[in-house]
Amino acid sequence: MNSIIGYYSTQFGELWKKSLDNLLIESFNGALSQCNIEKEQIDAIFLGNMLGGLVDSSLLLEAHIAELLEVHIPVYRVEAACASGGMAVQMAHEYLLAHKDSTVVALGGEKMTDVSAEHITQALATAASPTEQAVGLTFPGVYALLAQIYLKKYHYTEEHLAAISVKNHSHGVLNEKAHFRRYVTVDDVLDSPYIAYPLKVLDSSPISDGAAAVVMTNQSSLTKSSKAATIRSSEVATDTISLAKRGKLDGLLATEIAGKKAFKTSGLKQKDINIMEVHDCFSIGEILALEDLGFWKKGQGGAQAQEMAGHVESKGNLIVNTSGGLKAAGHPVGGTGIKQIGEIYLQLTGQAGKRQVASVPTCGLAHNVGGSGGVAVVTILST
Amino acid sequence: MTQSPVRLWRKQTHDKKLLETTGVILSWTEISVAPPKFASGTPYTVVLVELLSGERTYGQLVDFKDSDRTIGAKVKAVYRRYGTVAKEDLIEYGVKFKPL
Repeated sequence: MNSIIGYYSTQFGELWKKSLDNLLIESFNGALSQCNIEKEQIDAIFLGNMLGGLVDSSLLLEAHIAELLEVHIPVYRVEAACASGGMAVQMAHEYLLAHKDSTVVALGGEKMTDVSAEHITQALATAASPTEQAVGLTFPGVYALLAQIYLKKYHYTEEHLAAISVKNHSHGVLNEKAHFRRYVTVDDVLDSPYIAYPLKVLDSSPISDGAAAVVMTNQSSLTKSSKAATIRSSEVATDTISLAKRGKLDGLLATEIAGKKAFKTSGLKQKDINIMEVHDCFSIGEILALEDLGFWKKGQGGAQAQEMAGHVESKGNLIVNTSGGLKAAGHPVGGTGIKQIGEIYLQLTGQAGKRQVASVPTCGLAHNVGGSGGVAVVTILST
Repeated sequence: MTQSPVRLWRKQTHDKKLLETTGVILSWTEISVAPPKFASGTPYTVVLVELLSGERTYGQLVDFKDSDRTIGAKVKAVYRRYGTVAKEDLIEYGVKFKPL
């Protein structure tokens, strides 16, 4: 049985005083101190990062970590665009399944604010296909194509998308580590400038610096902690990098496949899940995720989005993105997947502070997407 | 980083097969924030097109009225200049689409 026994996230935001190395080491040390583990007890490290080579001129991050920690253990760098963090946890989970009596750390982080908006747009666009990049299609642009198809097919408007941002900002207010801690209204979202029609600034997750780390173990002496959450499943699925090659354009097939695998492996059903963090890189992303994971029927997401309550608790609706999601908590891409799983861990172990769901949940799901759905990782935890 | 012109040549060997082909718009967006190569052209419209052959491809939409930007509208492939390049780089051409 693999468990998470510790979690730490740095502040997410424009962190001008901190380098990528600063962020990674802070999250690593923070997670270890949360569960009173020494670095000598760690058998391997899984590091999620997308842009180190493109934005920070930093590759071979394995050796950065070895230098910072003064260790010689295996460090595996994982790149799956915005799913790098979720993939790092998934690979760490696989490692633990293959290695008895082991303890590992999955961490992820990104330094994104040292370059201009145009250059970070170019860097993020590398998660789109070469044919998409060649015509000036940006990463928000690819999601905008998906949004147009969804809105047209199911007769929704930009107002339905805006409901997601309003909810997630209301959650972000309660998260002291969030990039944005302010409420927004539907009118605020609708009045914000377009970045890729029909998606606007307030439909979109921000460019953030930040890092997060979880300590994972299968050592029975450690998993008995009251602050442990069990990893019931962690599954990955892939799809074409280019939207043009996909049969399905009103959802993400990789999410659907990874979700089905994760539910099957865990033996749990959608009704068992009390809390979720899903990949809302753009507002349309959360709607597609909740449909593709089987919580809403295809095409109902626009209407359901307007029914979801904010302020953590909902009146019988799904409780989604209590961290503020990517939208409000921020999206340091390599760190996001770790933060999502960390948020579920905090909620399951009653450590989520002001945003703690009053009736402490027993099962939670984290959903992390790379590119426009070329990779999806779904992880299910329980108490 | 300057790219080898061979990369451009590889792309154009495929693009030339698309010239004068027609198709319908499956989706479209207007890009307002673009990478440096395309920044001087913002806002510009990109369409996802399904050609009569069944192949799906992308291109910028040119010579259009707002009402032409409609899912299901017919378009034709044309050859146009793409993006801004450095003084010593090859000028890049590629397929764009215009309303039919």
